[in-house]
Amino acid sequence: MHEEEDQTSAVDVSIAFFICVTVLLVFVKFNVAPEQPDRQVPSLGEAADIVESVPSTWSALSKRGGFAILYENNLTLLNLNGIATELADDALLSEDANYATFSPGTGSSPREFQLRLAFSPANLPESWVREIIVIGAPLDPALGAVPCSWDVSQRSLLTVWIVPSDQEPDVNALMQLAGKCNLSLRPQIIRAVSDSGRSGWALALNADSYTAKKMFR
Amino acid sequence: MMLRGVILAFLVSAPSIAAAQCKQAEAQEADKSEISIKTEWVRVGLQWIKTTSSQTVVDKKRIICQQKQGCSETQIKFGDTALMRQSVDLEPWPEAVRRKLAAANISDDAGQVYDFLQAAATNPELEASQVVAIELIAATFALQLNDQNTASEFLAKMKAKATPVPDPLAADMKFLEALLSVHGRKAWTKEDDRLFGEALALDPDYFSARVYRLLSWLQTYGRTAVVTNCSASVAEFSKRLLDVSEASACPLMVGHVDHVLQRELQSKPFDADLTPLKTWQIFGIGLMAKVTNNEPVFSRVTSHLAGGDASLPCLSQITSELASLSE
Repeated sequence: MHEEEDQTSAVDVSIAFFICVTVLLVFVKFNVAPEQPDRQVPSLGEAADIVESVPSTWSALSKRGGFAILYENNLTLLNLNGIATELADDALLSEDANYATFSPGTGSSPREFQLRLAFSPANLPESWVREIIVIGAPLDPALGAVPCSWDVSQRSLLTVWIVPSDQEPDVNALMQLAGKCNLSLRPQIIRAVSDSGRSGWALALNADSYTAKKMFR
Repeated sequence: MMLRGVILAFLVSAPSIAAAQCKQAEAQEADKSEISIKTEWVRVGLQWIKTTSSQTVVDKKRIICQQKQGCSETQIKFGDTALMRQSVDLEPWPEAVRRKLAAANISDDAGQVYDFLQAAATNPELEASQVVAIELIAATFALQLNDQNTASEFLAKMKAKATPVPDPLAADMKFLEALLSVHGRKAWTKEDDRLFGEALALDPDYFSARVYRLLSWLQTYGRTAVVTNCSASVAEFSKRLLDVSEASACPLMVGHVDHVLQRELQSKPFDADLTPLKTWQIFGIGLMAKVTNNEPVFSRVTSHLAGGDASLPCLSQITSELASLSE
């Protein structure tokens, strides 16, 4: 009699155990499914110290862009060829006021890199400057209506680092210039100039530059 | 004891409810032109929804799956070269090569770019497949600089050498070849379409190849005024479109792709009267709207197509496909 009771209770316990597991599994299995997948919404206000050397949009062939520094209404277009030569010759500028450091990528693509530029906006080195355009200044009619003297076709995308200063840059004038010269502007605001008087920004390219989060925003 | 057996059997079967796959169903892949009345059950959370695909060829199951997938990351890669897509891993790269390529990447003087690339490619530490990879980068850079002739020269050189390379690199080569072949031409040929298809077959995770396969369908077949087999055309077009949205069924991504298509085709689908090309474009917008759950755009698409001339190719099939998606 006792033995039979024991057997029944053993069966009961095991059935109860299996039911518990089943209930758990059913809930785990079915509760996970209807939840919406987490949507990563990149914030447009995200602050970043690195800018991709490719535009943040998808195209089969990425567009090459130019880079410029806006400081007190002086828009300095960087001489990328000059910087590239210094980089290729392993002779990057290294001065107190301005310097550049290069870190090669570590990923599968040899094109990956990070180039950090530290510059004194009021005292840029000659080898980095292609052209200085004073924005907002009345245009000289003799020069034509538009100061688009650089080769716009090759650099229709322009990343502009806006450096804070006592004299607020005239962003409207910058937009007008972009409109006249048919430029796509990518303004990046540099938060502060350090005590040394330098600002810095890194120009980078890696496999991460091509993720959906970076491109479709 | 029996009860235990039943519970055990249930336990074994419960986890085998397979997660939904957003890939094209195998059977449909085998025969795209087949029209049959099929009843399929699709699980959405706790509910099983019955879908009947009577005389429609668009893969509804895939659309529902993509709706659920939303903006989540997939295995499809957006990089412009196989190396950037991380689809292939070659020998380690010497720092000198990386330095030259970074310089080539930022410079905007074509001559200087080619000098840097030349210096990188002649590095004695490189394997043959690495040299091909650099030549592919060179061809890509040449196209970025709008220098088609140099890009063709690089490709011709690579083809002549015939170095065996991994499939994703071969996919890049085919894709660039196809891009060069269609450059500046408005009418694309079946040969171009085949090249894009081959590129995609070599690297199925190559997003650009997926987009260009959709574009090449529109460029090659989309302007045809008379279509004899509408169900085959609708099936092929919708398959290529869902291949694109599979990458990320996200409103922003879909918007980018739509923008690229409109620019490449030089056709704003909602402007002026419907043409065969615009009909297909709007059908595509409708499918993308469905995938991203954008009902306002979807209803705009259906109402715009409702006013179309009945002589437009496949219009009736397209409208019935869209109507069946609203059920």
